[in-house]
Amino acid sequence: MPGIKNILKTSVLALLLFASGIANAQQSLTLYNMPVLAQSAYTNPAQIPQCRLYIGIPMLSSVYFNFGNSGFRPSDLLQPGTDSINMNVNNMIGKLHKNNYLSQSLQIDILSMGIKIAENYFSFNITEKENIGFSYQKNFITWAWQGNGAFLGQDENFNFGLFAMHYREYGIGWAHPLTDKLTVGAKLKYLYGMEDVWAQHGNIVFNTATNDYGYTTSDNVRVNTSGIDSNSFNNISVGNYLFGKHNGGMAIDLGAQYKLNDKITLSASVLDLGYIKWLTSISNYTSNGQFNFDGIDISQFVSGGDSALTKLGDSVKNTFDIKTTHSSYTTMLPAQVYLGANYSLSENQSLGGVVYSQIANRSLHMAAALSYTRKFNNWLSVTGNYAFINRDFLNLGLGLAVTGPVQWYILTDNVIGLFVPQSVRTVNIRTGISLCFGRKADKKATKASFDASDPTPSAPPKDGK
Amino acid sequence: MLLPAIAFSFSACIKQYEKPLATTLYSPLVAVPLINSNLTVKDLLVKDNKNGTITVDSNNFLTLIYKGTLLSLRADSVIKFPTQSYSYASPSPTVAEVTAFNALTIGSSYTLPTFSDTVLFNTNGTADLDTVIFKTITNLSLTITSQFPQNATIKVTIPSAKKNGIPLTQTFKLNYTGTLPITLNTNIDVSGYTFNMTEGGTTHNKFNIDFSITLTKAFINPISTTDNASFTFAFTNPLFEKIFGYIQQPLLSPHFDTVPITIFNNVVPGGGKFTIVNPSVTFKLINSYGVPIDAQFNTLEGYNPGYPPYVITITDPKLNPWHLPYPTVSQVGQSVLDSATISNATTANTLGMAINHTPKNFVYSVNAQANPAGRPIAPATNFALDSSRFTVNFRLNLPFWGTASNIMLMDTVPFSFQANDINAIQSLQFKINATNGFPIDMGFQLYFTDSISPTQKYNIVDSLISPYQEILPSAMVDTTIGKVTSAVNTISQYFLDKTRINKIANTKHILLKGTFVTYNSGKTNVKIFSTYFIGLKIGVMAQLQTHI
Repeated sequence: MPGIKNILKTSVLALLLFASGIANAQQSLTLYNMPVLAQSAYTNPAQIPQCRLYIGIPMLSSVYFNFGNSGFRPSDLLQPGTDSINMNVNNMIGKLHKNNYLSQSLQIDILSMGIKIAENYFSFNITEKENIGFSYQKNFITWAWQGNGAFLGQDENFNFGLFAMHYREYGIGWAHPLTDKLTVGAKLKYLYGMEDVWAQHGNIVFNTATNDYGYTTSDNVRVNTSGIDSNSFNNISVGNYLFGKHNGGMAIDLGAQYKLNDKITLSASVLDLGYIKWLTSISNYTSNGQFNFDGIDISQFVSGGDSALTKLGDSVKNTFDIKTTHSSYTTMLPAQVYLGANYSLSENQSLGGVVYSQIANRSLHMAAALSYTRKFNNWLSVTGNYAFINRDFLNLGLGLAVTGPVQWYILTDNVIGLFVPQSVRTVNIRTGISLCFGRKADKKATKASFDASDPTPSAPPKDGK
Repeated sequence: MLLPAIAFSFSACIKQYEKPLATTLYSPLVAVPLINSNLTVKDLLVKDNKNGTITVDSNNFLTLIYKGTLLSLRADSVIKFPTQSYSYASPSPTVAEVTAFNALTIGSSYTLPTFSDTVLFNTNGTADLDTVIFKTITNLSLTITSQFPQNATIKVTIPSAKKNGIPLTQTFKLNYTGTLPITLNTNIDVSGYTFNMTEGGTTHNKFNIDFSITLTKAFINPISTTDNASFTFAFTNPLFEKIFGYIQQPLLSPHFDTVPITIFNNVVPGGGKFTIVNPSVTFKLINSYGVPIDAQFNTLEGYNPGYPPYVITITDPKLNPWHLPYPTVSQVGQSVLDSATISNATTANTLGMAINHTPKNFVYSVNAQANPAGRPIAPATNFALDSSRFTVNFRLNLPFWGTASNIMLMDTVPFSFQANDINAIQSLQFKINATNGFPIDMGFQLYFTDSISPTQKYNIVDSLISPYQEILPSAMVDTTIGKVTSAVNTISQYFLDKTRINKIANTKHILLKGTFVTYNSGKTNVKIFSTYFIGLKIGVMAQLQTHI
């Protein structure tokens, strides 16, 4: 089985490469390797499900939650002792990388459906999405913990990043097998923005001078918000809130699957290539200045004046004087890329590998997983995977799909996080229930469900054989 | 078997976190800039030197000046007239005058002969007045009482009181209404009248009043030889606007006062040597008082509490005594200026010696006497306006040119640590980055003191700079002119460990001590210019330790 060895070797190398300091945000690695689910098209629009007609139960067909912290596990900071929990900040700092990323996502399908017409698969979904990402640097945590005296003469650059976005996605997808080997898909999405916070710049530099401990601080901060400031909630009705805002955007998902041979299928997708232009209830908070403080000017005191502290206060105020404007702005969605490979071990078993990357907040976050999928019978499929997420190898993914006219599934990229969240960097779950009609329960279909190389298992071969 | 084992394991893990959160030791190293100042002479000396003025000449050379007033007397505070009154009665009419009046028909008038009286104006011995102009508010009241059972018209004239050449005359009517006596209370406006009190150059403080009584027969009642009229004049707090005459020889002082020399406030007396090359004192006269006055210094000395005075002996003949010039009659209303300056040359070096003792006060008393030669010989005369004043100002000039050695300044500042703050501090490291642009070696010490008893309020428990060292060496100096050529920068650090911090935990006051020696151990005269400065940056780094 040289093919398996090569895949494993390549995958391990990839995992080691990503361990060098990159992390993940809102991945769905387990879902990517569960083509039996219609929702797998959310990770690759070229994915065509088994059902001829798929209807998601409103609000229940897909509920996704993800929390990740690439910096440290809770247990790195909080360590149980005999009768209390101790905070081991030094240990936590030791786990941090230069740049760290904290993320949280929540996605709920309001409506979703899909239908096969001839060789085409059309889908539609309305999904409420909320994403938060916050990047912080190890040197800030270290600086705050060890004190500025430990960093004399050094420019400490606290480059914070923040985005928090709530929007609704209206998506229309289409997938089509171009050849026996290649299937492509795309989803066009209209985006309705509801709230947003985006730190366009978050640079704060702090230096403590060696000779006199004087402070030099400069900041270049701009935070844009929509629907957040106090005026946003004046005289707003439910209807206006849900449908009346003028924050519109467009995005597209693109995907492809390529059957290399009978055993190996390669796949790739690019998701959320798009933007939202924020126009409603905008506030832009900007601070840009430099502040030097070398101590109190005692001449103010010895000469009988009392204005030194006042001047200091004014200086600080002027430096960090936050100017507020109300100009529209545009945010890009955090684009995601999946690269996958699947090796069919048998009709009921397959091995998969997927590499994920996300570009968010001007930084790249990556994850990867190796998976094993087994179909136990015509209605039960299980996927297990081992993943590197948030710079952490302690991620065991698990997916369970009960497939029939009613399809229920639950999956996670890290099952450990569901039970001992303090010991992981990623907590992740997706579950849902939907209706699946027109699914073929024959052997061929069973095989196809584990063989991504056959995107249309219920359809006859294009060459008529 | 596996699933229960996994579940049990997960459960055990979760239970581990169902414990209270323990406090954690937080021990940051915090560096804080405390002071960043460029201190000039003005900054350093203006504190507590509110009465001192620093002047800068065109070469930026500095002189510290203290000002005081030796004498300042206003004429109306020296010359005061008492409240006074005068009473007169008219002669009774003769038999012939009575017969003539009683024979008149109703409606006819008869004038009795005019009579005069002399007023002796009381100056309380302060002056022999030739002429006086009273202030507007001065009130001359008059009460007239008539015993004539007829209507009377009375004219009062002061011939020597004139305004625009016209004597002061006023006429009053007293109408008979069937009741005697007939009384009239009135005021005579004397403002603007010049009272000549010499009776033609023969005397002082006197003037005449003429009375004329005209009776008008309104009734058939006869008058008699016992009828008359009486007059009472009164000056209440008479104030003058201008006087001429002889203002006697009042001793206008002694005037004893003190000028604080606040630059020496924090200098410990007897602790060092201080020389100023050319100190001086300038006395400046402003006199609008038309009286010759001699002023003589009874006392002029530097003084430190608890020490003998440093007497300054004035050898300048101009000031022994100082014949204060004064305006002549033709200069009424003007001020005459004069000044005198004493220096080491005119004080047998006692001025410099007094300054070198860093006195905290200058003490002086001055005797001043008016008309030391007696009455001026006519046509000369004294004069004064009510606003006339003679003022002698004092100005101590301390040019910043000289030497200082072992000068010690001390001050105390209330200070206490917050208990939580001090407990959290494990160590302190002070860093002083100083640039000295003065030609002075400076040493500072900061003592932490607690209070043992009311008599031992400043018990020293530790000092910041240990062992003591000079932290601001003098700038480089061109010794030929005593001027700084380049500043000197030094960085020094002082460390307090936990043991020493615990010692100072009960600090109640900080005792600041500074020692100063001018360049070359105080052996070279140096000058201080306004361009000199001390660049002082002080920061502290604290190792903190607290539980959070």
